Amino acid sequence: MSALEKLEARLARMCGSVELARPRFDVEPLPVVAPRSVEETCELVRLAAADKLRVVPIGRGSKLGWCATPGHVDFALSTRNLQRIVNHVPYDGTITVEAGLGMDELAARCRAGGHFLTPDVPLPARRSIGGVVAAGESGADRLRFGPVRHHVLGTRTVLANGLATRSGGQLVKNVTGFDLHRLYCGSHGTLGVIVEVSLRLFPEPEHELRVTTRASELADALSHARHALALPARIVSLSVERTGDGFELAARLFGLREVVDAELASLLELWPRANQEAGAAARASSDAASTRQRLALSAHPSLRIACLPLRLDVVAPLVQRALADARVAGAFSLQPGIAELDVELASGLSDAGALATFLRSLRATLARHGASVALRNAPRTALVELDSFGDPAPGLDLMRSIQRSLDPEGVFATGRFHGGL
Amino acid sequence: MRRELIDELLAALGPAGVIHEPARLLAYECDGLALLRQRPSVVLLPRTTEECARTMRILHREKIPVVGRGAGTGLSGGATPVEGGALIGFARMRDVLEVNVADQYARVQAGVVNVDLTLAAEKHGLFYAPDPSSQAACTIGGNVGENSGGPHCFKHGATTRHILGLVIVRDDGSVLDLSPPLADPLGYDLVGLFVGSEGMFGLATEITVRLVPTPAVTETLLAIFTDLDAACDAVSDAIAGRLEPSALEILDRLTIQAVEASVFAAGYPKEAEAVLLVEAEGSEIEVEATLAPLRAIAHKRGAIDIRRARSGAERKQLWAGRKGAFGAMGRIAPDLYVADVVVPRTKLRELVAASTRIARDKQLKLANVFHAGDGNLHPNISYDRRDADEVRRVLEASDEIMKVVVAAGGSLTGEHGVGLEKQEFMSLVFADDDLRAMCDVRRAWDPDGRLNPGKLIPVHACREMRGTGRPR
Ligand SMILES: Cc1cc2nc3c(=O)[nH]c(=O)nc-3n(C[C@H](O)[C@H](O)[C@H](O)COP(=O)(O)OP(=O)(O)OC[C@H]3O[C@@H](n4cnc5c(N)ncnc54)[C@H](O)[C@@H]3O)c2cc1C
Repeated sequence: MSALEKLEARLARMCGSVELARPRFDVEPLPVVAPRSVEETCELVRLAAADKLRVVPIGRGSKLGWCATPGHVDFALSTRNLQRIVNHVPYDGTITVEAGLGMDELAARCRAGGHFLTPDVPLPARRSIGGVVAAGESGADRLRFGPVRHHVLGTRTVLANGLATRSGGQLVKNVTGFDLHRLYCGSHGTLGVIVEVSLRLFPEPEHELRVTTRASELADALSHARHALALPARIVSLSVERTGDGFELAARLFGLREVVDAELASLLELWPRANQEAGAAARASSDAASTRQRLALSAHPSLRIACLPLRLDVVAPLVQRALADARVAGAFSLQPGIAELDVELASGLSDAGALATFLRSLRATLARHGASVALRNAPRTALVELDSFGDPAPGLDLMRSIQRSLDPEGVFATGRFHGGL
Repeated sequence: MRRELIDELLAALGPAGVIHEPARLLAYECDGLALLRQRPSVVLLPRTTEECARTMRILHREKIPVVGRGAGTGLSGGATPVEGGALIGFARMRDVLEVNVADQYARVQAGVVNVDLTLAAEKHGLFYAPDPSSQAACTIGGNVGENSGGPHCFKHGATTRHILGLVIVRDDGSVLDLSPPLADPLGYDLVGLFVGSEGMFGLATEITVRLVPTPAVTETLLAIFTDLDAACDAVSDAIAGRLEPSALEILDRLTIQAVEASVFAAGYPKEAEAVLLVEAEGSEIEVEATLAPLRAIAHKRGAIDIRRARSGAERKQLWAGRKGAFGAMGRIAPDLYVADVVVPRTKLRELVAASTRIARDKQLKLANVFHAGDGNLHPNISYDRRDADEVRRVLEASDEIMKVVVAAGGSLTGEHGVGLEKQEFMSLVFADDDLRAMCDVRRAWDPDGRLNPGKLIPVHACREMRGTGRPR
């Protein structure tokens, strides 16, 4: 029996079954074990600690390409079998669930209680709430609701010592203790396994619209967007997508019917030739049309560029030019209100070296405008030279100390996140 | 404190920046939790991040513990000095450094008073949403320290949702600049982690806050009830009905009477058992659509009258009464113990009633004024600090209220923090393993445990921290 087989057999004894998979970080086949309870999760982490095995926590595996390749990993621990609804209190507008629950099921559950779940992410069936929180993945609806970390009321997290620890709570307001859940949000599993999440919910909209219009040039699209954002309307999301012959703008409105109707009227004054769709159709087509969804399915590397809203008018054309100069083709989409740009690098960069050169130069150009550039789904070869997240930010030493303090033996795989964390 | 050390600090901060004469130190013995007092060995008042860093380097070398202090309005003893320790105050760091209208943020020094930030933003059609009732005195640094809330946090969220960046002076005097306001953190969310750390991770010297556009229309209603339970039920109904006003506040009879007899008199009817203050904001249509169902709920729950503020001045007056309520309570007794717990909003009525019962059983006067929309109760107990027996009963009542609330799924504190006051109660909500993780993270920030030592974490859970404890 090889060492790998032995490990597989041991893990299987603990948790029923183990599959050998190749999660999307481009490494050798890896045992993926999916514990059936929080207790089993703790046992697995304790086993890893005792035997000096390195673990990568994963959810459903949809965002593993967002992080660099981990240095060395013995097994992946997936939360996908942790699916219990721990406490749903519709009349308090909160829900607590286990981390492996799919975003689709979670959203449906919330809807049944009259609530809307933010973040509204693409391909919800492929994402678990734990993965979304661990990756700090906000939806396009962040324009209205803010980033996902603002709505996480508390977490239960299995730390490197194999203990499930709580931070925060289940209530909408609470300042008891340090907010370690804020630390775990967006830490990509480098500090522990999030096993339970409590969330604040929002009212399910009574009425929903998707309003679209077109522009032939990027500058016009940006200007249409700017005017729309200046309206006294609480737009849920606003996107600009590059199409074959120009740009499509889409605004999502929802809430009380009369409010949405009034918002629509003011938007139509700005976008007289706009099209509209309502209700479920609106939701379906905003999902289908979104580049985010396409990128989530794409096998190509992509970039997530973020800056301050005001700078987007400078940053977006710079990105467009850099792509044109390097003859890079692929999806191009931006969310003006939240100043995020998603770019697919589908073709044009022939190899890892070309990608590295392109990215280094783009990062240098955009750094002057305070923009950050994250590289997703990059081939392993490119990541030898590049950090997925760009230059290390201030505070990296402190981040390392925090990591060492919570995981002194290095049970959780490092070298994956920002600055090699 | 040694003379040479005082001289060194004087050289670093100038004569106005160092207070060491015993008589002048008296003013810094406590924060808003007046039950606990400890004289600091020195009070230091830097004017800039650089001065603060220089001071911290000296204190680090001398291994002197440090407590940060904004305005000292905190109610959990967060700014209570520690024995032999220095107090670093931010009273001379009051500059609004930048208001960026286009990108809707402001950068301020830590000692800027909450209301001054609001005024600075107002000129540009923007506002800073977190509005603690103490906003005329408390500082943005203190708000960050406690992750403070306020009536409008019901809609906009507590301080943490509004902090975009921080400049932090670390325990050793190094400066950590986390101020570039990008939408997401690069790496771990150190800013989010820092907010609410009660001065135990570092000292924030500059703070970048999010500003939001002033709404086109704001409407304020006052619903008058002859029964406190009914007012609570109206709020529970509003939450169950998923309504989204911007504030939902309740004041009970005793509070109303105190307010009406004070300079904050707001025109609340003195015969009412409770009033519910409701605010909605947005477009005209949105405000109307939000308030109509709230009116219906209030009526259904037996409100005898619903008044609408007809002008900006009337609205201000209604809020002045709410915000001045704690101060007005001074009329009832010399001292006020402000409890702060959160309950599930499905249980407002029963837990407000339970805390009232607990106080009554101990022959104490309890008044309720609270952020009902968030389930954040403030059972306020009036007492006289000179009466030792009464002090004992106040503390017993507060303990019991916390226990009842936690047992019902509530939390120990919604906005005032743990500090010294609730330290030993942390074990009601957290297991030792949870607390140990908090200690581990704190150790990464402050390896020697010199920043605000002995607060928040119960003594037994973290050996390196020793608390002065709560008076028993
Ligand atoms: C009448 C009254 C009404 C109140 N109403 C509310 C309310 O509605 N909502 C609410 O949330 N609170 C309320 N409070 C409590 C209090 O005002 C808040 O906690 C406030 O944020 C404290 O600010 P401060 O400047 O007085 O801070 P302090 O009391 O001086 O300090 C508070 C804590 O923050 C730390 N700290 C201070 N400055 C810094 C800094 N620059 N960097 C790091 N840590 C720092 C201190 O060490 C301490 O732990 C009220 C208090 C009173 C007296």
